[in-house]
Amino acid sequence: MKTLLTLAKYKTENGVPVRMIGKPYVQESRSWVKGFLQGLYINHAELETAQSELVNDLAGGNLFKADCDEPSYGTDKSRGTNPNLFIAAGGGHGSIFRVPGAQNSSGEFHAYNIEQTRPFSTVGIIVGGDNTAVTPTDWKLHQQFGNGREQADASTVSIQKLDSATTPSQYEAYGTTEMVMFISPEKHFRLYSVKLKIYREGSPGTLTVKIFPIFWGYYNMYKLNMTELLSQTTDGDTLTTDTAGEWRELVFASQIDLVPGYVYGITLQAPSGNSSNSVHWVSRPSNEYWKSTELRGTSGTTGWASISPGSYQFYHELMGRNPGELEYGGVEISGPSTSGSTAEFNIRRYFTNLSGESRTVREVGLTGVQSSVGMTSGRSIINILYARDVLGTAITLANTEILLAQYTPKITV
Amino acid sequence: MNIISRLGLGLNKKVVVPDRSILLPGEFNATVEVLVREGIFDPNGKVLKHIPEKRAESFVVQFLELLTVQFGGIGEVYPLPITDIENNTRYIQNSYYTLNCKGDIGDDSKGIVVGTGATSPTISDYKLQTQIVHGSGSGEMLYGGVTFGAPTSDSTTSHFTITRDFANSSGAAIVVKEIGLYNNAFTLGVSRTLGFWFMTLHDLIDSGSGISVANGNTLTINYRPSATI
Repeated sequence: MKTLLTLAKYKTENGVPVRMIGKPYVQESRSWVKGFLQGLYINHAELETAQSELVNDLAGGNLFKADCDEPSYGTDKSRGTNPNLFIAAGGGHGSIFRVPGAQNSSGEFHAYNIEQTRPFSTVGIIVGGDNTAVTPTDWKLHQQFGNGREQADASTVSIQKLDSATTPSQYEAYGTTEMVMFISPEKHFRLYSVKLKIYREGSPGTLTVKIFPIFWGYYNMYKLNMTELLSQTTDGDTLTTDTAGEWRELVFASQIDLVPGYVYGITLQAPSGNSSNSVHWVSRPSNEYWKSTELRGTSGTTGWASISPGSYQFYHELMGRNPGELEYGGVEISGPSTSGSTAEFNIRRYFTNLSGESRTVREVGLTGVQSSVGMTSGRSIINILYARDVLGTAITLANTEILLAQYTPKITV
Repeated sequence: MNIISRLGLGLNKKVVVPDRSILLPGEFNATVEVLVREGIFDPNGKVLKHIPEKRAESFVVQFLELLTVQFGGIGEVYPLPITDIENNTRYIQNSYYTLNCKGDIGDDSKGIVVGTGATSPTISDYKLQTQIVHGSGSGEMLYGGVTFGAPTSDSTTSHFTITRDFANSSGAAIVVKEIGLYNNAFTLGVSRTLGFWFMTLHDLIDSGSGISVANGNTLTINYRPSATI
């Protein structure tokens, strides 16, 4: 099966494409990567949970256990909304959602849970700005443009911040007791540092801050695995003792790209501390959505528990750089059609640049959705990269222009 | 004209074409490897014949159609019509089990299948030309269970393996000339889903000359879906 990658630019008037600019750029795709073979293998082999395949996903290349979802209820398990190999996302800021289900003894389709969702911009054809050569084990674009109208950040800026004038509370970390603050990125961006509003009691010693991928299955939250994505330390003994806290920044030695729709945990530890020599993380009471809820747990274990009596949010700030955005259209699939000894189908997506600046596309990819079971328990969906191409000639999209990206898989006997 | 002829050396040498055809850069395809061993389902049986891994000839249109069903999340209220192995049009929706080819021992409706037809494959083939069915009667072969090798990759290629053994206890040699891959997919019936079978790969062994499997021996087919960057 050969695959053509076609890109074309369109000039617009009042947001409507009026004519193509120049001729389409066409290259043979070089890009089906291991994730696509894994997706096919899982369905061909009808992998069940106990045999699941470890796959990398978009958020940090974490390993997930992927399989053919088999709900444990219902009499007809072949009738369900199986997300495996799904790529036909909608456009804009929306999300797909997974509805596992099966048919019950009365012949009715029974939807079990609407579980984790994935933003449209993480499913289907995606585009980015990096031209690092493709390898079979690529698991993401090297610099994906997210959905939206924002311009690229030339330097590190504040991406997300939680702070408030509300009379704060606090919770402390020391010894093996760690605190975690869940974050959910509001956009694609590259994380450079985090700032935490903290203060010390006594001399807590060296503090460690880590970023973990979080598996969010059903109502439980777990570390995806025991390896953090990023880690940095700071001297806790130089912190203020003022209970209003200070903003302490931890700059990471390397960066990761945070992906909307995924949940990450910022953990704070004072391993050499105790109840009299601890770090306190300023927080506020909150009954807002649980993805910002703080928890406490024991370092080295798989998860955390909510702090009683209520929910709180730790004050934090994420510092990073947005690579710039394009507005994602919906994924269209047309065909297949047969002509002579050839059959083909098309996968296409439009990207509109309304950022106010030019955007240069150097890489194109294709991602699909995969059902996955957590490392400990729970079930969710993840994104796997199926294809990635580096363009032989970069394409610069001026403000208001539309880019069409189309994959055409073609078989010939 | 090869270098030997140009030099006028007059050597009467046959130009050897490598058996193995590799995938082209950017290609997604399958490779096929064929072996005949002594014994009935004996994994340690002596290898009597071996056709090394070569590029498969044909994904057929049903492969793209089933991929479209999953890629597009095609549902039961607007299914996609696809021709099954009995030449019936089935209206297929996405399912947990689409593309399932995990055939059990004795199941000749799913997984790698073999036959005696020698007609070149076409894009619209929906079944083998002449399938060898499971059994130990005349012209029949015993179908083993389908097994899988997990995906792996090197610096340029990713692949996984689908394997099946076919033992001949029919009493006479059988020349196997064609191989295929049959997969499950589902449509919504009156009271529950109905599963049907669809061919996604169709190949000839040794360009249709086939490979002879003597009585008491076992044929092994390795299909290896692969992608090369």
